Amino acid sequence: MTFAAPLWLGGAAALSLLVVALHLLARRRPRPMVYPTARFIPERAASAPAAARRPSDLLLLLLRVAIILLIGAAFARPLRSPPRRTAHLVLVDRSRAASRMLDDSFGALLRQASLVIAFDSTPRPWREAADGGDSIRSSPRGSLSAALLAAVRRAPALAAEGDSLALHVVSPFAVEEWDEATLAIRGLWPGQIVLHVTAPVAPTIPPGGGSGLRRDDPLGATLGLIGQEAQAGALVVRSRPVAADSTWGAAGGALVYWPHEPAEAPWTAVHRDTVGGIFSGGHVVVAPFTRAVRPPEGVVIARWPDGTAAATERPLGAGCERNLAIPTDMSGDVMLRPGMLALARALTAPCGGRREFPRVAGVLLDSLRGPSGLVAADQLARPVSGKVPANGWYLAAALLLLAGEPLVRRGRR
Amino acid sequence: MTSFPSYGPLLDALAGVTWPARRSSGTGAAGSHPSRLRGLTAEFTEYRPYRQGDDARRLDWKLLARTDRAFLRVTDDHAIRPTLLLLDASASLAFPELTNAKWVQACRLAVGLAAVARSDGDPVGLIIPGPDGVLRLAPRAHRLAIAEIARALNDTSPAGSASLVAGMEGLRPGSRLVIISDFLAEEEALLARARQLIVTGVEVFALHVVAEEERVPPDVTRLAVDPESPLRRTLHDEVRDHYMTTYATWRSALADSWRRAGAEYSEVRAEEDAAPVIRRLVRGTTVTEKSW
Repeated sequence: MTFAAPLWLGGAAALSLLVVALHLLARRRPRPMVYPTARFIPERAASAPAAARRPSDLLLLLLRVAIILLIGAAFARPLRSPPRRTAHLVLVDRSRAASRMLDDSFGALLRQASLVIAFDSTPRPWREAADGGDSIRSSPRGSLSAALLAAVRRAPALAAEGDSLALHVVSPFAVEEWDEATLAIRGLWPGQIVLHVTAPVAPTIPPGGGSGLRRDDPLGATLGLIGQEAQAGALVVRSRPVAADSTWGAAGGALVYWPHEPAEAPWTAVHRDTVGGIFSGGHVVVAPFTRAVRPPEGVVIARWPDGTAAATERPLGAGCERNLAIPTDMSGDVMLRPGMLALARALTAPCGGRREFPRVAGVLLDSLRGPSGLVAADQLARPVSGKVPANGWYLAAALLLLAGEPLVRRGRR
Repeated sequence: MTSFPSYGPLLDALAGVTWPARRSSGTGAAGSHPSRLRGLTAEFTEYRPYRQGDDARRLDWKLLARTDRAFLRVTDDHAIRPTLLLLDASASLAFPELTNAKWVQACRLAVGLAAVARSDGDPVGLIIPGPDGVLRLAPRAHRLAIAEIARALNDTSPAGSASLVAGMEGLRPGSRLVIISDFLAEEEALLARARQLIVTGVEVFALHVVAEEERVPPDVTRLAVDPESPLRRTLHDEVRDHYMTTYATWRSALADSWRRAGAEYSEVRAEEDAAPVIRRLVRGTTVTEKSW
């Protein structure tokens, strides 16, 4: 218990001493006695102040002193120390590299946690992440830096929950989640980080992928140059997908519908024009593409130079379905250029991007874990703000006693 | 809690005591007290020369025939004297708190005087003004009158305040009124009314009951509370002598004023035996006036 304005407490103590002194010097009222001839008694002072060894009314004195001290304490802004326990802050990886299902052993950790933050590329409250129904397949890449930064920012709010803080990170710690700033941000956390290393999500590519396109098909030549292994996770179809194709995609594969002529696909037609290129991620192909339709709604995975969608992806069971409104009947060697090959490789990649998520090196994990020891709440929050104001309780108690004081005084008469 | 001892020893001690009237009565009813009326009764007193205007029926015709002188035959008459006991039952009589000695003494005086008066053949009544009205027991000469008075007194507890003057209405000339009080309230009005009654021929006795604790206050510091008013004064060493002087002066002035008014005033200590007090009250009271 500390006081933000202890001078008030000193003032209350001084006033209490004054009250005690007044009780010692109090005039004593004599005991009453029925006396019919009272009118013949001259009217003179009934009593005179005199020092006494004992206070005149001990109960009333204690009550008054208590009222004064409580009011003084309330104005002194008492701050109650947080409870002596450890508050747990848990970061749960919800990125595409992390398995959606957590082991049962994490249940107890989540229950005792004061705050749970889910993270992929951005951190967000656990409840929000759980209600969002995000699919592991559509989750973006994770970022340990963003998660650690969120922990550092939210930790002061937990100072009232306990006198120390423990930070837990539940993640597969995939290489793709690590960046150059991770260790620098980790340095902002003064104590140890408890790492709960989970298994990365396992690839679930059903057999039977590939294209099977003819060599005279321009796209077939392109995909032939990429190689069968690169496109094992995708099934490229040139005509409208049939039930078997969708079943394969729902089993975890990437069903790629890349029609010969996009205008033939059952998609929304747009004003037919020619655009000068296409880009997807870091791959760009500059060529006179004819734009005639707009692919169906979904996550845009390729765009025309004006930003409109050229290809979209949407979940399909455990896999995904991609619709590419990119013409392939191009003149020249456009379909065989390196840029086009890279674009085709990206568009026929397994759902969710990379298939495998290798773990970062052990030495990096040790650096991330850091020195042993919990973090004191005061290290993350200012001492005053970390305490709980308790003046309301003191004031309420003082008012309660104040209401009872007249009753006690009346009873003493 | 007031405990009333039996009145038996008191009544035994007062057996045979009479209470003659201080002056001749004007009432016509036959009784033991001398009456101012002279007339036709058989108790001869003296002869008086006839004066013009005298009733011719009172002439002693035999003496006139024998001596040729006209004399009237004068006889004495005796009358009863209805006695009313006016008792103050205000809160100030309930003092001291522990014993209520003032009230107990007042009751003893009332019962004793009633018994003495009734033994003379006088009807005796009781008046007790109270906060809820005036208790009146009409004067009766019946042998059970004393018991009724004692029962009424036992049923009464001194409390509150009431006007004694209100109980002094309806008294006939020739009756006797005994006021038993501490005279701490409405003393002027009470005296004025008593003066009126005395003028009309009512015999008034004022018995002032005083407790020892009132005369000599306790030697401790106390907040004295008047039971009949909000008055509060502190009684302590510095004011004790002043109080006793003031109270004694007041009592003396009170006695003078009542005696000057023609009343028989007596101060009675609450603690003393009632029988000697009553004997002293009724002793030596003789007819002091004779009007022919």
